[in-house]
Amino acid sequence: MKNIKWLLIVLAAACLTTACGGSSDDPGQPGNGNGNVVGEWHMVSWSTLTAADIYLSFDDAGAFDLYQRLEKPTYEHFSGTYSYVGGKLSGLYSDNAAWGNSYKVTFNGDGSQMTLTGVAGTADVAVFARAPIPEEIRSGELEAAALQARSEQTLRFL
Amino acid sequence: MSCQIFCDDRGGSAEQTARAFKYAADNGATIAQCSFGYEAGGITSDDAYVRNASVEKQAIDYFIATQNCPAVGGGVVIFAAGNDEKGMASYPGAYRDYVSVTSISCDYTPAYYTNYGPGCNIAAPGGDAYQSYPQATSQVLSTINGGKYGYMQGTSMACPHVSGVAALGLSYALQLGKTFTQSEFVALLLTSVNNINQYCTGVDAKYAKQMGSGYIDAFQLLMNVRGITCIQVPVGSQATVRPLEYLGDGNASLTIASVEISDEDRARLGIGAAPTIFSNQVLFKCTKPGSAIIRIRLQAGTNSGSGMNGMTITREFALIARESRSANGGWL
Repeated sequence: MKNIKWLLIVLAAACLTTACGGSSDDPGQPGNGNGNVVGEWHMVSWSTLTAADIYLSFDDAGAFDLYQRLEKPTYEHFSGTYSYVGGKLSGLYSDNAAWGNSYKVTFNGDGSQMTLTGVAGTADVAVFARAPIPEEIRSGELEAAALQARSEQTLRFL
Repeated sequence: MSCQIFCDDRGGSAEQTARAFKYAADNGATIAQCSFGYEAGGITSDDAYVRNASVEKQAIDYFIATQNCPAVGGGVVIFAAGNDEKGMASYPGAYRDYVSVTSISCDYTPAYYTNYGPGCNIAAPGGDAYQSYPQATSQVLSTINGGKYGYMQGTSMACPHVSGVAALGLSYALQLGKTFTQSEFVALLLTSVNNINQYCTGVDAKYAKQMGSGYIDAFQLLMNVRGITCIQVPVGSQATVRPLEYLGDGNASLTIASVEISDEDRARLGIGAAPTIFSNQVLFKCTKPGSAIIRIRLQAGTNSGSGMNGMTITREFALIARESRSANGGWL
């Protein structure tokens, strides 16, 4: 094992407008602080989960956007319509799939955090904090679908 | 930094190589990009390598054990697999703890010169002169002596692609404030790949599942650096999890060796019987909602059956057991 060699070979070189669309200014349940779901949110906890990266955006016209990094290393974008009535949040995806649950909404004192508790299954408790959705996520740059489209246009080598 | 162990055709002894690794570790290096090795076939087992180059191996292990970057707990050593057209990687890269890189052409087929088989862990573009002969443009445009650029081919061209992607991943980890153990980061690297077995047909059939886990994908590594992938499982009925579908492009050459869920996490999700592995699937049943971590031990690369091994890596996933979920997979 005296000699070792180079390994170079050098050659010359919708709105289905669910019946629900529309939000309200319901401040949440009594004693749960004041708040409004409208705005952008980032999930900070669900059970012991720290891996999921989930952003929500609710506008005041009854539309929502959901960006999730969950079952893929890339982000997925969902959208649809929501209803926020009587402290309860429910909605419909743009592909007509219903939300898996409706959620009771509570806020902390200054409305900077909201807690969504599943109406069916009270163990489903997610805490969201107000946070802007990063542009690289909102723009779709980190979505698998966008990546796939780009790779089909230009052969992706790396 | 560049650590010279050769002078023209001379040098490259185990002692010189050991001094270079020691210097690099003591002077801040985190990734060792190594385009050299012993001729494939000269050493055919990890045990033989340890016996014959113990000072070199000790120095490489010292490099791996030395933390110089806050984002990763140790050094990452990446070797070229060798250009001998042989069915095994060359050492040191073939050693089970070191990453060995095979070479693919610009059409994703294995380059004609690349080593493959036991000891190989991952593939990357290394050029293939025959693809464009007599033009050189199907090789890799590289720096060459004299401050110039020129077309070159070899696993020495493939290897720095993986080293560069690893550096990109560490840079992103620093930007995000993420930290990894050395083995966690290597596992991310070897599973951020796309399948190349689909191109190993006809005269290239011998390379199928012999080129490592797949070819490196920089975007996948960056996304994997952001965090572990979550797998949603049902509550109250058997979960059948196919971890390989969540790794690489879903077709990486990986084999599940074992699976682990801690006792605490099993209690949290009400998992009674231990998870079982069946045909690269993991079977278990959650009786309570919640989340937990599942660790999957995988083999990246093939074994020779006589002392050359693929690298054993561990990837973690988060299990999410919810009582209700939308049919389209959305969180809400």
